[in-house]
Amino acid sequence: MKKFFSVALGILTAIGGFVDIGDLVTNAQVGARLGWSLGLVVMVGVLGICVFAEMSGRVAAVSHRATFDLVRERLGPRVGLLNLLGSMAVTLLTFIAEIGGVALAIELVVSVHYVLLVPLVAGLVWLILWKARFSLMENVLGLVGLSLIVFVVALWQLDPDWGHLGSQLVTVDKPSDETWPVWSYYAVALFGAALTPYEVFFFSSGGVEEHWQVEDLTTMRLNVFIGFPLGGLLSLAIAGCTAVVFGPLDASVDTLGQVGLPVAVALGKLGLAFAIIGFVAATLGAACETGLSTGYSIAQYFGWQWGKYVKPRDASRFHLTLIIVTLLAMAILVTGVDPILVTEVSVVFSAVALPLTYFPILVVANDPDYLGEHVNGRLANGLGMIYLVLIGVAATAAIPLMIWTRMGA
Amino acid sequence: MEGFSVLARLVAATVVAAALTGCAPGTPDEDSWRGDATRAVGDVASAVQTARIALEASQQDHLHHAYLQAVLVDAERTGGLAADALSSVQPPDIERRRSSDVDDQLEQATGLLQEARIAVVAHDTGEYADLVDRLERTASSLQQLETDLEAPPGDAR
Amino acid sequence: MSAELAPGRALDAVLHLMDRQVVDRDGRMVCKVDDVELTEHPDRTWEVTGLLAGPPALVPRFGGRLGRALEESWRRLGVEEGDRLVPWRIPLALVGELGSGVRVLAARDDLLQRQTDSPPAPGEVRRRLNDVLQLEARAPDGERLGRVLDVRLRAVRREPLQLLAEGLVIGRGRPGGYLGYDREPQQGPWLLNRLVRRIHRHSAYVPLHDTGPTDWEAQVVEIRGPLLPLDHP
Repeated sequence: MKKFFSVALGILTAIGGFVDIGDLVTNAQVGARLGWSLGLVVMVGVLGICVFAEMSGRVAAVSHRATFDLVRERLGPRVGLLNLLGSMAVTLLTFIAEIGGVALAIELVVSVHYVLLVPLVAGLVWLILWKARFSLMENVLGLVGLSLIVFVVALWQLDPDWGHLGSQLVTVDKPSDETWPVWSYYAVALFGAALTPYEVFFFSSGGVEEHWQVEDLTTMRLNVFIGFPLGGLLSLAIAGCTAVVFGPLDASVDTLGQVGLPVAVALGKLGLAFAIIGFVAATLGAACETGLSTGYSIAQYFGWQWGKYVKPRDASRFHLTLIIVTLLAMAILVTGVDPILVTEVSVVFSAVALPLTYFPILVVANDPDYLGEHVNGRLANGLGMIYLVLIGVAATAAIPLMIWTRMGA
Repeated sequence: MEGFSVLARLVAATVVAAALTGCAPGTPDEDSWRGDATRAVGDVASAVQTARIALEASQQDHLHHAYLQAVLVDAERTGGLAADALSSVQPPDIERRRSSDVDDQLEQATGLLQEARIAVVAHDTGEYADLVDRLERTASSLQQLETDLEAPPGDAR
Repeated sequence: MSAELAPGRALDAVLHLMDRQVVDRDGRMVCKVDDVELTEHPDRTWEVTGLLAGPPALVPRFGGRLGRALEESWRRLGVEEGDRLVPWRIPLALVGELGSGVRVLAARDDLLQRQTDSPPAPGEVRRRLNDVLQLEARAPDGERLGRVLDVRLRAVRREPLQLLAEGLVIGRGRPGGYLGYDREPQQGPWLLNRLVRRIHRHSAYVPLHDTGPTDWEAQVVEIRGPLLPLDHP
């Protein structure tokens, strides 16, 4: 019974934890402009994160090594350092976007300009990173983030033309007033948002934090293969909602307020309250995850003690890193930079940085010196290779598409 | 040595990419002005539509006041930014007349967004119905304008 | 996998030791294996005598201009310190387990000592693994055979741990040398394996007794015996 509960909890937190500010904004934008014609990309992205999260989780459970340990061991210190700089830049960008997202979400309730909320939010994030137990942080924020399910209910209530949405999804039928480069740009952005590198840094380091063993492999797989796809469903629901409300008006979505508006239209104040709570929890959870991921990556590259399973004074360099990145993110946000813009940039650069993370994971997941009998099977390797190619294409195309389409304008 | 140059190349590529995305518009030829104008009109129309949806929802008691206010403040800001961006673009001679027409309509729309924001912040609920009507009309005329702008001057209407 | 270090087990220094996480007896993390200390005995046998850590060990591994520039910056940040460029050292005798990480038998407090605090015995010369990896392999007639890519070690005693060098892995030093495919024909994914093994098709193994004298000035090691096919240690 206790086992069942822990599996259920893991799945629930995976659903709530999958959606972050990047997914919220990108899916809402895509829904408004392109309907469900990018739905298949979301599904491909979700399967991708499942494949690689499973590999990194397996490595963590069997060898107790997290992702950035592997990066340095398998790419050497020089390429490893380049990799660290690239991944850190992207993760930091995402961290900034998440903190800004929390502030924007709170602004929707308290009518105080978000810039004034940023120091408060940054302080809260740091406090959680310093004080809260790892499992408590993950479970509470993940569970509360589940209130985003209200988007599924809202979509149902909005009673869309399911046949139309479905045919858009299956036939990749983009609206005729949008061009293929724009479609491709958003495809790359969605792919980047679904596979954000911090997700595996966090997932594998979290596995080490929670002392996963070989016996935990089944639980880990259930979390991944049920939790993430259900999280992907939330993404589709968000896109569907904006497709119904903003699509026919040719309106574009540029603010977090617009993302929640369809829920208000469909379900009223109560539904909207759920959506806002979901925004806050999902972005706050992701802010904690990305903040931790920056600390994890640096500490794992240099060999410092990291993790929340030891007291902060036993991992002082790790916690000092967390303080510095939090202050840095706060300093950047109080300049008044638009967090939504930071989000849009972060998902595109995520796509660029994907190979840095996923290539070493695929290699080590095959290495019997680390995994013994638990090395990748044919299915994992087949999918892994296909995704390595997809990731390569997305990484190469991301910046040219961004310039060509002027960020999808 | 190798690592250094790879790093240098990466930095250079990032700077170039940022520069290119940062300053894409600029040349005052017809097509590019039409593109900029279409985009600006579309963005302002989005802001107007958003404000209308929010006000309508609020009339049906579907929105908290703080949320409505945040949405309208954002709509005014994004609409204003889009209009400003266009007003600083030099129109080609052949588009002069349409340019001033576009400027007028955008100014009117952003003025309306401002009016709506003022009413909302002041809790002037009595004005909402009228504002919804005007926002709807403005949105549809902007949409018409956007369609017109897709064709070269003279072909329109 | 945490493997027992049974006497007789062989491992490759770069592939299985370098860059691994060092963990203390309570499971606390200490540092990375930033480099490995190799001691050359008067009878020309090589032995691993310690693990090196800290920027003075890590930074030279970046190689070339970047390595030198970083090393100089590191020195300049503390010019007053006489031991600024001396790495930290963990004697190999303290190592208990070599698996996906390196477990030492002591607690991490005060564990790291400067390498110069424990000088080598007379007649013994200390090298770093990274210095060995800079060596060029040449046949007696001067033909270039490639670079030293790795040093194969064998555990000859368990308590305290003793690792003797047994041979050299020689190859062209192309990218992907740390991935392990050159030594593992079965490791998947198949496509990646074929690709990396093709890039590293020149890699080979030479037992230490088939090598001649090493010229550390010119960074050349002479290979006298035949190149053997490379396999898993």
